[in-house]
Amino acid sequence: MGAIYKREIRSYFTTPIGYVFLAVYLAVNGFAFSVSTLEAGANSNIASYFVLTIFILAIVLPILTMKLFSEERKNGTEQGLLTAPVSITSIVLGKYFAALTMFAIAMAISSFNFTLLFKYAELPLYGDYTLLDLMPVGLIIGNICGTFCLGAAFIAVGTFISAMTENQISAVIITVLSTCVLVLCSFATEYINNTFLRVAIKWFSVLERLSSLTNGYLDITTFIYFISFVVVFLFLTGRVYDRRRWA
Amino acid sequence: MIEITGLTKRYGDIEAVKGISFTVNDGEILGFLGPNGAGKSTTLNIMTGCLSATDGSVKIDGCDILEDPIEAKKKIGFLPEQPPLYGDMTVNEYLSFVYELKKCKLPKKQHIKEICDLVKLNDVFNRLIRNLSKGYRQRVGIAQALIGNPKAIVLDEPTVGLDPRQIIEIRNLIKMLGRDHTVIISTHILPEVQAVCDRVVVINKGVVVANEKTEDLTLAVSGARKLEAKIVGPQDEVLKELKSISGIRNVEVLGKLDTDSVTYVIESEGGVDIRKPLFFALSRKGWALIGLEGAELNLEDIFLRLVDMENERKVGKRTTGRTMK
Repeated sequence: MGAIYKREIRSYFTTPIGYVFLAVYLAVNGFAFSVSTLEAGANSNIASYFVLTIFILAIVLPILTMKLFSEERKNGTEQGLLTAPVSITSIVLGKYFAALTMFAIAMAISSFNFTLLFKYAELPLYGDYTLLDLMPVGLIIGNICGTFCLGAAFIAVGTFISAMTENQISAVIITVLSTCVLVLCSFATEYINNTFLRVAIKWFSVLERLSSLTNGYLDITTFIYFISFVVVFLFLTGRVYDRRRWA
Repeated sequence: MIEITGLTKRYGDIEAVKGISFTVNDGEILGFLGPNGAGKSTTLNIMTGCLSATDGSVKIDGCDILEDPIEAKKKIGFLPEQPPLYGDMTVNEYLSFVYELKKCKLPKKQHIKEICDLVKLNDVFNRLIRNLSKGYRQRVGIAQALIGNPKAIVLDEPTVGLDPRQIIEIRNLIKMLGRDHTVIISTHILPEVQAVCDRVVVINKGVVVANEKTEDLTLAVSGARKLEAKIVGPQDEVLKELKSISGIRNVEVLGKLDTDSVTYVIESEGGVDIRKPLFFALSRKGWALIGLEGAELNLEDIFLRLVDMENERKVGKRTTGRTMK
């Protein structure tokens, strides 16, 4: 797994994909942060920034996952991996964690945005407050965790779709559509009359699960939900990859 | 070393490999010969764990590729038809990656250097793979198969697309590998097998049609030799005369290449050298023999011959069976 992980990380930086992802993510994320907090005035809250981030993830993260398996298949390097003494699980995990690392790097850089809040936030005229007292640190940490969990889930979906296609463009388009459906299905529940369907969609909805984290509660069940989500999609990726050997 | 039993692979309704069985002994260079689409690559892909078989088993040094794939794969190095190379890596980086991927225990620098010396990659050690020539890429492909010093090396069409000088170099390299490893090379080029292999397994339409030592196969299929003779003389009479010579099985007119001479393809019966009787028969008639050369048997001829031999064998068995009843 280590060799595959290192090779993937390396390939993000020896091809334009890693740079394109970081540039697009940081630019769009920075713009969203600026519009939703700094320019929104004193009444702004960081919740709107995190809602925008969810949509950014749905559209930008597929750039990271599109090549994971489809490129190997197209270039014929897949045979090298399949004939090496490594399990399919190691191959899938190596690739998944490489993409997740890239996302973590992007998130770590974008987290510096919050330092600006300390600079521009205004202290009230009365009372003995420090800026740290006024900043919603718990909320920020909760939202960062939530964003990371959501990104991890989207990367798992992208990995799965990349394993099913040979063409990177198809992989990116299908992944964007899938992640957008995952995000939008939460909003769709309001328009569904069937109770069973509504409850089922709510249960599966990634946004519903995020709500505890975005409110600042580090809820263990939410983490378990997202870990299960990732495990299921990575398991399916392994099955798809293995299935092709039997086709 | 490698034991293949009843291997079958179906793609939907199409049966690409139909229950083939053969073994490869320790230290042997085995040629896996067959026309395009015969099932060679499918068999090799199953053998190396890249594809799964519909039925049958493959054992590498006692390890079943399906039941114990990790152990079996440690014992086999594979160069697919298209070498699995990453163009964005240098040769050094790529071989280091394969070294780590195979969880090799040998001293890294020394092991990679030894392989590079063997396959002559030192000149391009720090060059990007995408900038290498086809010949060098093939060498890098062979080098990656050798990482970890596996007991068996499987090379799928290792000389396809190379120029004649590179082909000779790769063949010499395969011979060298045969000293320390069991080697299987898949090819559709007969002289390649004759040049490097100890034994040949011939496959056609997913079925093994011959499994012989190289010299036995060559003898078996070239028992009936073909000659191309360029003769000056009246075509009909020459044809009649040629057919009357004992030991000649068949004569065909290949064409009139110039105004005087006609080229005939003469097929002799197994083990009969008809050159002398041919010369004397023509000289008696006063017809000039202005050219005589052996017509190389191509792979199609060999397959037709092998399939014929196989059919004859089957018919023979049936007849014997009936007689015995």
